[in-house]
Amino acid sequence: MLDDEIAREFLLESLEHLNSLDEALLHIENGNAPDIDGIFRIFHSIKSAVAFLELQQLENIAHQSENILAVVRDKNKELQIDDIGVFFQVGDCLRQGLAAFEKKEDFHPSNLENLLQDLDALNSKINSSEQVVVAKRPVRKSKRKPPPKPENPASESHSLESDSNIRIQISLIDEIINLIGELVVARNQAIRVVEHVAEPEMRPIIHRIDHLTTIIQEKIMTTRMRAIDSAWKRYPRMVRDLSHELGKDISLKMVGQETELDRGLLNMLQEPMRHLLRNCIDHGIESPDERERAGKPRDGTIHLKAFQSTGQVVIEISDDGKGLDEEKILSKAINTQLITEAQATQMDNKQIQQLIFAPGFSTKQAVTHVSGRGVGMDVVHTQLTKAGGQVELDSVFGKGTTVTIRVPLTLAILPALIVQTNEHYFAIPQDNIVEIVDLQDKTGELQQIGDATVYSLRGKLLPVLLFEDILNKEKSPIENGIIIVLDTNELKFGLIIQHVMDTEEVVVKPLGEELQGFQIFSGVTIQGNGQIAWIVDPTAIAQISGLRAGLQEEEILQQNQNITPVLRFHIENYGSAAINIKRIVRIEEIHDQDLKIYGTRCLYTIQKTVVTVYAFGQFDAENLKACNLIICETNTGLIALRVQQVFDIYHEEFEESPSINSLGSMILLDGEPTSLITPESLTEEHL
Amino acid sequence: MIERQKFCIVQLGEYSLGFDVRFVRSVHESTKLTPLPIPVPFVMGVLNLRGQVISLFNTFDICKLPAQKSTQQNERKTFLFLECARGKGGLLIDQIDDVIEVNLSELHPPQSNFNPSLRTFVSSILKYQDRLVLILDFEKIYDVICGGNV
Repeated sequence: MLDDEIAREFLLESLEHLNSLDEALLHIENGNAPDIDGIFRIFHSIKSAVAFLELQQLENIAHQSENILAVVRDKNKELQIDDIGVFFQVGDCLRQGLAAFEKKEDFHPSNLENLLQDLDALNSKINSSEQVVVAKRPVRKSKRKPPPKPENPASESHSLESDSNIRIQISLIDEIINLIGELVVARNQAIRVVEHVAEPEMRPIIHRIDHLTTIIQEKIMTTRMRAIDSAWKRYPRMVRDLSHELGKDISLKMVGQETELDRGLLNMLQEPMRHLLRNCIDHGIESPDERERAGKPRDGTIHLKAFQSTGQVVIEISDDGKGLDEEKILSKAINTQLITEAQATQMDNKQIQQLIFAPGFSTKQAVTHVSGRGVGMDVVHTQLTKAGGQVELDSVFGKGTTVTIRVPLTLAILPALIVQTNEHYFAIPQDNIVEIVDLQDKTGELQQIGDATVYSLRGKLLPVLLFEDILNKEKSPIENGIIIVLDTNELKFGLIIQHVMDTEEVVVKPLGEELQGFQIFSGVTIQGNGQIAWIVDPTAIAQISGLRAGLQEEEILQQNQNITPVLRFHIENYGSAAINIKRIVRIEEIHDQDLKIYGTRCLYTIQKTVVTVYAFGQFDAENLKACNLIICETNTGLIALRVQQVFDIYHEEFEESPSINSLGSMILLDGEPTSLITPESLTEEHL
Repeated sequence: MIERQKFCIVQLGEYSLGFDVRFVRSVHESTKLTPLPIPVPFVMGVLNLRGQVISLFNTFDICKLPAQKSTQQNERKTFLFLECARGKGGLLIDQIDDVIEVNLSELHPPQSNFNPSLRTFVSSILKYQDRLVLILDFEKIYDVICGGNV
């Protein structure tokens, strides 16, 4: 019996070689000069590996391929594009064989005989062909044994690699990540205790542990990260095969393959991504003739683009195909009773396009094996939502379709806001939270429209849901509470909860199968105080409550009006001041102790970013106090302004009077002269 | 060689129940049970057990046994924590009796007229001291709990 460990090494190595084989072959097919040497080496390495694994059949075909290539290389024969196909098949056959070996199954490929015959035919064709360009090397008669030379480059580079890299079982990494998750929880507990216990010598130690834990956590998370390329490198081959099959000419352009993503997420993305690509090839891009008639180039193009943006990975898949036919979608949706005709008349294009995500929707007339079983896009949608992602669609009829996928960078750790309702704790992902509104004294601004409750937030109508109702599955009058304004990217709504507790980086634990019935929770976590909190999934809440995008038209109207909402606050040693709300990222309630002073600069760390704090007057080291930090965005990054009291948001028209200092102009708010500050002026002014 | 198997014997109401020790992880007494925000059949709540969130199952409900007054009034609840390939959880019990090792030949199949609601989980019956112990299959119990959500 073979040593399992060594067999595994060989297996992994061969699979890597097969991937590079695909790449090299596609390279030729795209009209580039063939790297015969490279392909030869690949086959040679695979041959040695499968020979070691005692896979006789696979060794045979690898050997045959190697022979042909040796002839091509040494006799300078030309390899026809048509001849490449057989090597693709060899690659597939090897891949299947290795997969079967991995699962310890017997491998009896039906096409092995054909493949060997094809290889034989190619061999004799190459040998008899007279396309000798220039015989640079003396022709060697028999090439049974490969020259020893090409063996070395591959193995040399390999040994170099293994000096600085080691292979680790994923399960071990996952275990470490879990343990670090526990460490984070323990650290949070320690921080809490230290806050209440006045042991001065403990604080720096705990802070150091805090700091180190964060670093370890970040580092270990990066080990789970993989370049998206590891999944994408199979796509060129897939696009080639499918488009050939359908008689289409499609080229695939990829940008941002180096973008890194959590390994687990990458796996979860596989299926939806393949589905979307198939859709582009089958439904999206037209046949060459059709394209010509439409005045487009005969070959279609699919663009794949990946990049990171604000804690998310964005993947765009766009084609220059025929786009979505809204009328077809509508008639199909009405036929299948997805919507009524009355509803249809009220939908805009965007909403119609969203219909293709509905379960069982597919407009393709006939079922092809490429796509179109009617379970297409809704599966994509559910799978991505499960992975904590979102999918958006943008299509112009006749021009093409772009699907945008957004997924979080990592699944395991989530910055969240802990809230309380009844006796339960909940964690709401920070990414979804837009703002928090205390309903105190403002319940009058809640209005009933039919059975929906809306809140007028700065003149915009926001649908609100009472969280208690969702939990109890009933309706009760709203008396008081705090509105968490949530944005699911598709829509905005308010969730009324009873108390806001704290923000915390929580370690996401999946729900056991017995709790899968909880649709509105995506997981569970243990807070620093040891209490269990349920992680809320805002998208699921919106779905369960039947919220639909659309209530936001009002919002767009509002934005057109010429009103700049501002936040007014009081600065010690200065007076009343205000900042444009759009420039404010968040407000932190802190204590002066949380600020760190370095020379003349005062710094504060917010979500791993260090911001400079601007304050008026001196810090009184003897008399530290609580204050608020207003975190604003400037064109050079985030800054913070230390203020004493935050009043309210004003959205009224005001007249600006000339400024009295370099900070900005004066306005009147509530009859109070207020200095309207621009964040940039703070950085210019030395305070 | 005679094949032997270890069982953990627990008391629940008037029943003696046995679990294969290969599935048993630990026994805990708990007062701090976190209730579920939305009720789920058979699940009494969850517990933070050394950094893991574990569901607690109401064994009376699962086995359709009449709830015993004594356990319901008692604030402290005892749970037997079990784990199988599909999942894990704590089963409410009254107390743990013993861990015994028996010959496989001592196990008897449940009679055909046996209480049907229990029959689903009872893999065999064991005579222990002067009592009959019902050997329960945790995998089947877990299947029923998860099935309750569909």
